Amino acid sequence: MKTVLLVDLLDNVAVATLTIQNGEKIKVGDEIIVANQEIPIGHKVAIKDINKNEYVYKYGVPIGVSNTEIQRGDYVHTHNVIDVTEDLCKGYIDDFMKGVAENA
Amino acid sequence: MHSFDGYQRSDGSVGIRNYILVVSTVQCANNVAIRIAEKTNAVSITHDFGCMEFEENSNRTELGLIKACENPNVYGVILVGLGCEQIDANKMYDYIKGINKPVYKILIQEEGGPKQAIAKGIEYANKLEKESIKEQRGTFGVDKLIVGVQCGGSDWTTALAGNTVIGAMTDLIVKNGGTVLMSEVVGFPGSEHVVASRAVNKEVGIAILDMVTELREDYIKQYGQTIEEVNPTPGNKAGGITTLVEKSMGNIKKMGSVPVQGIIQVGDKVPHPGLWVLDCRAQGPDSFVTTAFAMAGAQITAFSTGRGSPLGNAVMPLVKITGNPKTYKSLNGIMDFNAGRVILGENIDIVGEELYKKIIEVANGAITKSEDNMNFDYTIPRDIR
Repeated sequence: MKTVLLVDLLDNVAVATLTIQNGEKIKVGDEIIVANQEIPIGHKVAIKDINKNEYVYKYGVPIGVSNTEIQRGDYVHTHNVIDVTEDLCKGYIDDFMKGVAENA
Repeated sequence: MHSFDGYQRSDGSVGIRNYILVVSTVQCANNVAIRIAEKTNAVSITHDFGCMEFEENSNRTELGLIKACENPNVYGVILVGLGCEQIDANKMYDYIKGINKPVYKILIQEEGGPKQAIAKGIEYANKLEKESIKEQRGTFGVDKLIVGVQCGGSDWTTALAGNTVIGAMTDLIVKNGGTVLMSEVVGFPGSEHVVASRAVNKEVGIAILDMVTELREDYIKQYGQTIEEVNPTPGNKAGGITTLVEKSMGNIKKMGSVPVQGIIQVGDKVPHPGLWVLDCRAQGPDSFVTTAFAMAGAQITAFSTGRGSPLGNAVMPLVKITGNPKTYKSLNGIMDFNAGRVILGENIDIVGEELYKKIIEVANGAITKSEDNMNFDYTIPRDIR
């Protein structure tokens, strides 16, 4: 059994602090999940099911969008997550400036 | 534990050390300044500037040196100049005298040479030390404490353990009325929406977004590529970082979750306590940012380093934190705090509270590894492109 690091309670991924083998049990808080693939040290594992086009949360914020159905226990990295940094930043700026203009 | 024992300064600030500083005003005086510090308990600041500089650079050198002297951790100052340099030692002397800090001035050309200048410097340093020992610490609230937060020499544990633990400490310092300074703004793009969402008001939100937009545009102008095009790097991805937000958040975590009060520039002081962003964009060594914190009057910096950096500062202790339990053992001679316990399963908030207590201990006088190792770096931040 391996433990993982859950940075924020909002997160749906946790980080392997030791490499986790395919099929190995993982303890997340009081829950036990099973790794569906190998999770290298420092890499992420889904601790909840994540639907396609849903946000992946780490550090309590969205870090990307899933491009497929991610199962609990799946390895989460560039193969199943889209980098939407530009959209997140620009979207926020646009909404923010709109809010500023409306309240002006 | 919401107070610490420090030294009251005449400008209202509170020092946590009584450092005696020997400041070289020009490259030609470095050797004399170093010799004085070697033979006493003083700390020297040397640099390769002070003469033949264009005005903008000369002003920056002078600002960096004056702010070092002004830092509340400095009890007294010995200025060492040559006598014909661009930086005016007399002007600096008058300024430091004006803020009621003990100060002496030695000009090598007036003393008859380096040997005479060194002898005089040793005499002054010993005199200042004797006086400083008479000073008594008083008890002050955390509202008088300014703490820098920084990371360098990073590995995969830095964002996860070192910086998350620092973030928990940041929240405690600010909730208890203190000030935290965050810089490394070149690492903001990708998380500017998160930082701006924590702005204390609209104006501060706009200032944060404007600063990062300017940074992003500078990159495109200079390199013809967006930050997203080159980040995360192949090395980042191999280490487990999937997106730029994720990479950037590893840096931002040091800010905890408290509101951002505003942005200050290099050489500015914070107008009131809370979390502030210090806009130091100078790309260079880690000591650029550490020095910028010292210039803002920070008395202490929490520095996380996964691989292990020995960095210190001439006017400010650095509390060295590693998120890597292996590094804590293998480089114990430079580490003050083991945040790697988080990697081994301990709770981030509990370890963060212990770091807060460690910061207070160091403020009360506990010697850090950077001081014990005499890592007294001081690198004035400037554009070195």
